[in-house]
Amino acid sequence: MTKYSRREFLKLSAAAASAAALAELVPLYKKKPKKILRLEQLRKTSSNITVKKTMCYICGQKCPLKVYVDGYRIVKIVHNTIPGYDDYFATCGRPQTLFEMRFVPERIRKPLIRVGKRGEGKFREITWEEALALLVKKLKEYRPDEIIVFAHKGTEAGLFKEFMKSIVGTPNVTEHCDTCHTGLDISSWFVFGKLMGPGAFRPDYEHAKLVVFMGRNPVEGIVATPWTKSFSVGKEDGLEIIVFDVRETRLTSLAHRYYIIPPGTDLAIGLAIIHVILRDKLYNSEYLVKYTNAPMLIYTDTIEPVGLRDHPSWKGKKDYLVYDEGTGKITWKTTATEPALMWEGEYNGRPVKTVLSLLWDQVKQYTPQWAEGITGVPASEIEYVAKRLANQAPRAFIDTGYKAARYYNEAMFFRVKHIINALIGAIGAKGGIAWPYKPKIPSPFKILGIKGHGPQGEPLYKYWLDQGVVKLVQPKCFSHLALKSLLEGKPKKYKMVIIFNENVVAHSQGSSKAIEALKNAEFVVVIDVAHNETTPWADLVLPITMPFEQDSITLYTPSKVDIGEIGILEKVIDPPPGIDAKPGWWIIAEIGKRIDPANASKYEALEDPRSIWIKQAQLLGINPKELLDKGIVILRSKPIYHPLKGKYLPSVTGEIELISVKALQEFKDYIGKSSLMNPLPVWIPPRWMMTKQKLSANEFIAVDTMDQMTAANMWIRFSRLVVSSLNWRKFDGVLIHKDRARKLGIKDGDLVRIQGPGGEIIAKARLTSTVHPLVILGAHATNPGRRIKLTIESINGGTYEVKLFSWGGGYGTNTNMLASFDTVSLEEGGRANQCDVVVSVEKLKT
Amino acid sequence: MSIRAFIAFIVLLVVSLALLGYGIKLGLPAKESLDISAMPWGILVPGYVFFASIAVGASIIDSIFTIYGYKGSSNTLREDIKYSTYFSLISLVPAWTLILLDLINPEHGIWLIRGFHDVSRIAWNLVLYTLLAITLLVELVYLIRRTDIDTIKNIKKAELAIAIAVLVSAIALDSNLSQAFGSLVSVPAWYGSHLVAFFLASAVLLGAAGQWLFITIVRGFKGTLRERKDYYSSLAGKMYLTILPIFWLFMFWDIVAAWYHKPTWNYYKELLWGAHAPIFWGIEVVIGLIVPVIASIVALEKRSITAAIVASIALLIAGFTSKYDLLILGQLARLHSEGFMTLIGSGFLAAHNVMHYHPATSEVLILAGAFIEWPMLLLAGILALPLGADEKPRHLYIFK
Amino acid sequence: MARMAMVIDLNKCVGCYACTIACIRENIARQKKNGVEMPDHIFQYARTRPIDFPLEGSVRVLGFPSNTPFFIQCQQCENPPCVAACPTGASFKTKDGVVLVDRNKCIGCRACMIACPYGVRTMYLGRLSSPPPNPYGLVPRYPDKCTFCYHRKNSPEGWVPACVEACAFGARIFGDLDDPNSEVSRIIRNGNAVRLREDLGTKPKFFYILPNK
Repeated sequence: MTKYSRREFLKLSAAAASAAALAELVPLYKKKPKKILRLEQLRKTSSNITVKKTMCYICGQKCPLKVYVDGYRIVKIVHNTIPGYDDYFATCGRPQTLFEMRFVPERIRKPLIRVGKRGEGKFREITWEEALALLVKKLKEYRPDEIIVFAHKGTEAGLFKEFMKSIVGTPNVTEHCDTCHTGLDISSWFVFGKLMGPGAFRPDYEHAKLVVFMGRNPVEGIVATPWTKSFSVGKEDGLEIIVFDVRETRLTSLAHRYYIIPPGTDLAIGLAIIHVILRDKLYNSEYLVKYTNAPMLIYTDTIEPVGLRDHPSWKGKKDYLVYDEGTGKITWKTTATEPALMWEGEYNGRPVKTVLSLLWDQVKQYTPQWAEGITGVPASEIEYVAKRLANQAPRAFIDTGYKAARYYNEAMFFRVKHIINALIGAIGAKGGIAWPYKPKIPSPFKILGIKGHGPQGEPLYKYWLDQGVVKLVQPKCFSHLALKSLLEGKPKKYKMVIIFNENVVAHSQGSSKAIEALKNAEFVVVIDVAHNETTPWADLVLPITMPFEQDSITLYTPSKVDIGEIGILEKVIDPPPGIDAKPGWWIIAEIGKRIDPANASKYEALEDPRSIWIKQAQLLGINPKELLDKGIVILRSKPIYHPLKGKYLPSVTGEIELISVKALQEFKDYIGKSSLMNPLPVWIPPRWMMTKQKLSANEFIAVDTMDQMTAANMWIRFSRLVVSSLNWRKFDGVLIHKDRARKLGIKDGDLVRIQGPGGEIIAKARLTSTVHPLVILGAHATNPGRRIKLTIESINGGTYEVKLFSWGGGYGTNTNMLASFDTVSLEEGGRANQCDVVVSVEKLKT
Repeated sequence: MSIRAFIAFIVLLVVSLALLGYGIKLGLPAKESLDISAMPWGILVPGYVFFASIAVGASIIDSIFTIYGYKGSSNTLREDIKYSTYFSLISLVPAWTLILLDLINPEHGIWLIRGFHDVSRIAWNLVLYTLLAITLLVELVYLIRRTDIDTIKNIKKAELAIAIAVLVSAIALDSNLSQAFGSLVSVPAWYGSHLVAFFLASAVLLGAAGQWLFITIVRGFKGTLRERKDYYSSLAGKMYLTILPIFWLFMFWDIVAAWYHKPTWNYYKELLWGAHAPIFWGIEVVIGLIVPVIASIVALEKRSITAAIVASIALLIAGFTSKYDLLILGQLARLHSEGFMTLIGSGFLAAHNVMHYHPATSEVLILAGAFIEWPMLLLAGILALPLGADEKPRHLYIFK
Repeated sequence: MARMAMVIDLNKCVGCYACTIACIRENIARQKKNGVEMPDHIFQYARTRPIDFPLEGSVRVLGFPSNTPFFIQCQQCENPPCVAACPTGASFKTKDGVVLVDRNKCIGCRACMIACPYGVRTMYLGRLSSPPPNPYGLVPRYPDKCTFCYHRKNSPEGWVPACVEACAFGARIFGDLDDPNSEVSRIIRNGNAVRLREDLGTKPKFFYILPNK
């Protein structure tokens, strides 16, 4: 029968098949001959395919890609591999959306100037010449220290920040990480002596035997695809997975065990795990002695190191007194033969004990039974997890992952995770938390010899540090403090705000206050690809190209670079017709020429990125031809497997510090307090637990999550593919536990009003039994708060409207819209507590 | 009769064409059902099966009467034989109308012949329909050409042979039709050979009710009902009381068997006490079993034509509902079982509420058009053809 | 003769949907100079669709022996019920073992859609003004499903379906079961791969490797 139909089939389509070679490629669609012709033409044009080597900048990770382009068609998008090293790279589904995403109707088409009131959304298109003239005029009008710059890492934001800092001279250049990983940075300060973000670590999944995930999901978040790749390689090799989360996810379905816990309570589990490890002496003694300050002697009365001296061989590091079990004497660690880990005694007539003993004293109270009371996870299970971690170590670790701005106690929680990883000897181990190798790429300004006077004046966070409001700050990330300064006019009145590829309103906890802060500025500039929650509040809006529509100004390393990857970000395709967007570097060059005419020729050179790539490559010792041919090269063959990152760490002792020496010096007063600044690990409840003893029937904790298709506040969330993907998975709203929803009379698909202390959103309820009953949960930034519509006068006459979420969607969540402005950890520089907000939920009456 | 009947015919013709035409214009499936992946077959399919069953059932009853030489009291059935044959033949037409208009690309219909696919039950349906239509047409022509009122009362060998051919094609058609559904392993509520018996029993029931009603109405209009009232009422009562238990016995055993087969049980669960239960209990059971049983007993005992009419109409209504339940709810149950809803798109289904089938406007229009086309064609036959026992061919050459 | 088959290794799959979107680009969406034309609810028409767990009430889909999310698409059965149901031979199996739909023969009776025990066939009823992105791409009002990117069969780069090509995690493997040296053959020989609803006797040529647990 097959034969018969096949023959008929061929006969029928003989007209269509132009060549014998195409015999198998007979169109199965030829209703009208005209269309066959078009199909044939379509096939012929496919010989003009060019292959672009680029990197995906949608979520900022810069994963290497090859994009096959044929005129205006994206033929295909594939991961750009380096044979033999593919475990270190991958690309996810986001760049695949390129062919559709670049047409999102929210794109900014031309430079815009505000014509209505702030927030009214009325703009007029102007020429680039007018726009640049206005921008330069304003830059000259205000003093550099009256300007605040918010710039995300995206595309040329790095150069833009450098330009604003060193050429224009504003000291107030910040990005959004205080709403993202600042909690992790601060936890690292306590353990490694330096603020270190997610890119500073490499979870070595592919060699690990067990990974415990708490507050981290490498599968569904995928804001670090290289790690996801490593995860999947590990999974294939039988990686054991234990998960703690507030909902069931794809990760929990892969997990060997998982526990659904109340939000923000994982710290209790972490403390109990330390308890079990210390109680049963499951730690790696050799490791602790060699690489950590566990044997360091501390005066028990004052909680101070007993003795510090300059390290004999490590420059700038300190050696300390330990109890040498070999000799029975207290001596310097560098001279001791057998430093004791758990020891109590006397020195100079004062009681002393080791750091590890002190730690044990501290966590003695945090029994698994205690943690069970908070989290509901049976004590026996917590014991199991702790023992399993110790058992599989050093090829086991708790993922110290990514975002750490969800709950108030997050920095402490991440510190506890670091301590556990140190106790079992996983830090720096193969199959543990390894260290990446990150090459430094010389800046284009350096290459072109463009120099400025540097920042003029103090950055605004200094003021808040001096006031004692802030104890620790990530100097790159103080967006909350910047808004606070704008709001309060302290330390001075800030007059101009430039927002480059950031979405300040949507990303700031307490969005309504962020809007007020922007209103306090005299002139607000937004430079972005697409309209967002912030653009209505701008005075001047400049369109930049999507990353795929320009050659980047510099070579890049992927954000989660592990083996020194260097790549190019090549232009793939022109912006769609009608989009008069310019690359970020073009804008910088044009401003540069205008404010610094003496160096105009150097800025001119900025408009030739490829020559900059070549010089950068030469300086890095890479063959530029190889780089351009391959699109990506590597400088190392594996990450750094050494507990102290090859040499020694930035901490006072150069070691992993279970209790930070610097913290003991700076934050001693906090000992005994349930505070984030406590040098000792301590239980701190999440904010919601502190404010509410018991939630009433309509109260929930608003939680947002990353999603495999969305990427923070970027334009990709407007894409039809993304909107459809969320709808397909019933994740186009907020997940509510069905038992609780039923009590509130909410049915699946109903619209609900979520009222938080800082504002309200309207969201679509999605009923499920897969979330913890306490939470109401959705994908991050899938709700614009108020429905935003912009009316724009075209330069060619007439007006057009732009609506956010014009392809649908927009009924998910954004907890920033719900939280009040003060829901942050100010002591950590205004680090957000984005998922630590109690909200009330009611069904929207139709 | 004739002028009023002619006007009625014209009205029915116009209304039927208008409904069908507008339905076709709206397009099928209509725009309101964005996607039919979840529910590929709509209400036209049960409609088609309904009419096909009537045609098949009526043919079977006629043939059996002929083959066993059952002429009815005072040759009553022989007097009606042309009407009943015409009824069987013409009931195929709305069935064809519905199934043809249900095709999305009817312009490729030639491939039903050119690409005849021997393992496809649907392909064989076409062949068997043609066969049944031809045998019925031969039978009708044969009967019309036998002009002598006395000879029509005798069954000749040729007629016997034709009747056997009709019977065989009717049974072949209906069992094949049942297996167009029953051979689909993807739909638990359908899969299995039990559907053959189920379809045949239901067809005989529907054919009996339809045909009886038609002839009673014709006789009513002609004024020849009164003299045969007793016979007709008892005939209806006997037929229905014989076939109803068979049909419900099959139903009962199918439910019992489904108890041990979860996917099929999903279907019956939905039918027996799910959202669909009011329709099942209200229409299939009350109107399709209780009412006809009582009415049939009354018809039999009291010789009541009214009771027999009630029973027949009830059976037709319940018969259609039963097809609807089996074919539409069967598909819905497929969605509920085996997590099909996720395969087809949980979010999508939730967004568009396709878990509950609502016929599209065009489907309703076409179905209504077919339902009006049916009496229109029956009336046309009465007007144009010598179907009465004593009528002689007048115009058409083939009948001479 | 060949028996083309695909395997999804669910250990490697992280559910990033690169495959689904690549499929949409390759087979469904019409790219134009100033936009993209494609059906609304486009995930519905992707030829490989994510099935996300956990489902309500721990429903097991198609006897899938795991609660791990997976992708559903045409199972390219060796004994395809859709082909058996098709009255005109429009649904047919090529000599490579790929089930295709010859639209010139399709009368639109939808028997194939309902005959598929895996629910993979869709039919888009809206309008699309442009021709499909490839001769085997989605056309409105015809049943649509995965063709293993049959239009790439004679591609100079070899026959690699778009979803396989897009997966940077190596979770999708495509090859010929009749070739004992192909990776799919090797995987199937290892015996770790499972198929959906083996009990139906449809003999899918689409396999899943379940997560190590």
